[in-house]
Amino acid sequence: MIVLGKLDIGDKTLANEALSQLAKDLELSIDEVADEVLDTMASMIKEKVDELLTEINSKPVYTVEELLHGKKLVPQSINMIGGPAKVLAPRLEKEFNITCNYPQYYKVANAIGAALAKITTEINLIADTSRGTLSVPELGVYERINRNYNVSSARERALELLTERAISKGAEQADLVTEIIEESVFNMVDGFMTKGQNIRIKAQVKPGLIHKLKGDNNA
Amino acid sequence: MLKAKNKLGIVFFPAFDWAISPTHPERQERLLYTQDQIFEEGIEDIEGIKFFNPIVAVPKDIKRVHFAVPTVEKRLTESHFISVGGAIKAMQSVMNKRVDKAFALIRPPGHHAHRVVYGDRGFCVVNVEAVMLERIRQEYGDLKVAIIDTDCHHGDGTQDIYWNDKNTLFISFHQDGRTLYPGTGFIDELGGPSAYGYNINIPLPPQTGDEGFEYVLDNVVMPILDEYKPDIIFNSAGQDNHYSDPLANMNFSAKGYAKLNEKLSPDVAVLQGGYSIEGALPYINVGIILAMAGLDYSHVIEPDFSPDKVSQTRQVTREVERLSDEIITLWKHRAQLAEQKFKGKKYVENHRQVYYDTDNILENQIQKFKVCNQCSGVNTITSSSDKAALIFGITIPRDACKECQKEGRDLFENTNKDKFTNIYLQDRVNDQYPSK
Repeated sequence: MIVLGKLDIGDKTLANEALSQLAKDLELSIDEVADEVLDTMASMIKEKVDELLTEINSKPVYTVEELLHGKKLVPQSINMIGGPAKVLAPRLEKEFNITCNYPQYYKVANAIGAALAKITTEINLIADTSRGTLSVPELGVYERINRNYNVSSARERALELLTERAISKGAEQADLVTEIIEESVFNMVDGFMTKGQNIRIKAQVKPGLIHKLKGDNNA
Repeated sequence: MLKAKNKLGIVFFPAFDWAISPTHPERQERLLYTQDQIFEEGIEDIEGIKFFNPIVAVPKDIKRVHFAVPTVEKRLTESHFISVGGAIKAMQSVMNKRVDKAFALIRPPGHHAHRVVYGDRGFCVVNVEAVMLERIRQEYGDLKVAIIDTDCHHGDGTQDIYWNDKNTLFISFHQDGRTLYPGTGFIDELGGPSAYGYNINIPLPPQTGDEGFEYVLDNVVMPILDEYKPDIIFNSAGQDNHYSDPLANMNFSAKGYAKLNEKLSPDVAVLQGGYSIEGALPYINVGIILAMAGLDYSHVIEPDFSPDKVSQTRQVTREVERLSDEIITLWKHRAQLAEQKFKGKKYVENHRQVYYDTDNILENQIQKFKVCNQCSGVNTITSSSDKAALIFGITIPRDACKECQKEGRDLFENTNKDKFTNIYLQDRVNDQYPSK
């Protein structure tokens, strides 16, 4: 990027020197080599993103409903941030064949994002009505429950504990959006008798920004 | 970090949203504790163990194996297509060499489903392993396969499907049929005219323990496999031989199951029955996973284990030894026995009754096998159920000669529709399954 004059940082002579040897070996001009490097970089990014998408899309599922009607991620556009965003955007656009955007202050967007990110946290609640126990291992919470404890009380208790935890970590009550992200209820059977329910709940503080900001579109 | 000696693929699909009924043993949470155990033991973090999601099987996959009455779509739920798809995915991952071995932990199970399917029997509607195997044979060519069924109940459905197929050796060890569902699986059930002796039943006495299972494996199963030399070994991994199973009476342990899988070294294993969902399944499944991956399983011990739970009486030991001798003798003389039984016969007929315990249906069947010296021979099933169906099914086997192919197709064309509610043709040579 420096060699091609697309990025004005560092020592241009050193950059030229580094690429000139490579150019000689490949019998190309320095500009051609620099161009080739950027294209390779774009295709490497594409490869990694594809790998990640495959991993997300083949995440194990455990129910008929999820397997048949589960969501599949198919990116429609790319948002880029970080120093080289502007230079790489057109190349990634070509490589992925979808629109590639970056905000005006792409160089510092990452730092701003980190500063504005909400405190988020997650808890797992397990209630076993036959033993009469409720536990949230992350919080060291172990409580007694009665035999009639059900999934809606468990849901409520999970959100309550989650809010307490987020606030103790410094979150603002007003900014908190809590949600249940996984929930399952199983009847426990001993021999042929139902003896209680095994309720499992995963709740999280929805990640997001403390203040709503809207990015510009410079693509 | 642990590294698997054999790369192992696992298809884990517990179908948490499907059950026959809420308190039925084959219920939603059957694999819940197994899932917990897999997570807690860190199986996912072992290098060389990969998890795959099932694919969804299609009706044609089912028709290669079953005559589903009236149609495949009417008899199967989405869960069945996924359960079968899970097994197919497991075997595909072995065939295309993504992994060395694979274990499909799926439900519902399948080994009680016969060729004709009117409904659910023994919690099975579709024979998962047979449908898997026939799809793989369609994709990868005709493999020589040995199916070892280690479920405590006789694998009567699988026996029926491969009754006349020499290229599929079926060995089932199970609790003696006089003492347990489905009441079949005796040593004289040896197979049809072109595969006599290739259907092997090992009906073990109740209370057989770890020692007895190991004896059978070492003295019957392994010697037969050494001689048969299959391309693929396949384990129908039922887990109800466990001492804690509520539906059966055997004394087998999780470590025993693991050891069996280590010695047998199956290429693919598919979960079958096993209803001690807290006390047995988590430990057996983890044991099998470790054994298949070539890892140490010596620490897999049930919390309530004690040596007397897996012990057997001297009487049981003697019976297991006697039985093993008898089975090996039959295996050695299979060619002569077949000759005696079928010599000079053009067709062989079997009459039998099949009861669907889960759906309460009684079926009467006449199976007719052509004795052909060129191929396995075209065969037919005439079947009626007490729910007012009368069907006729014709099977042209994979290796059918020209003459048997023609005979099968002519039968389908010329059989009068008025006599039957449904007529089906299984043309395995052309992979076509018309019905009328």
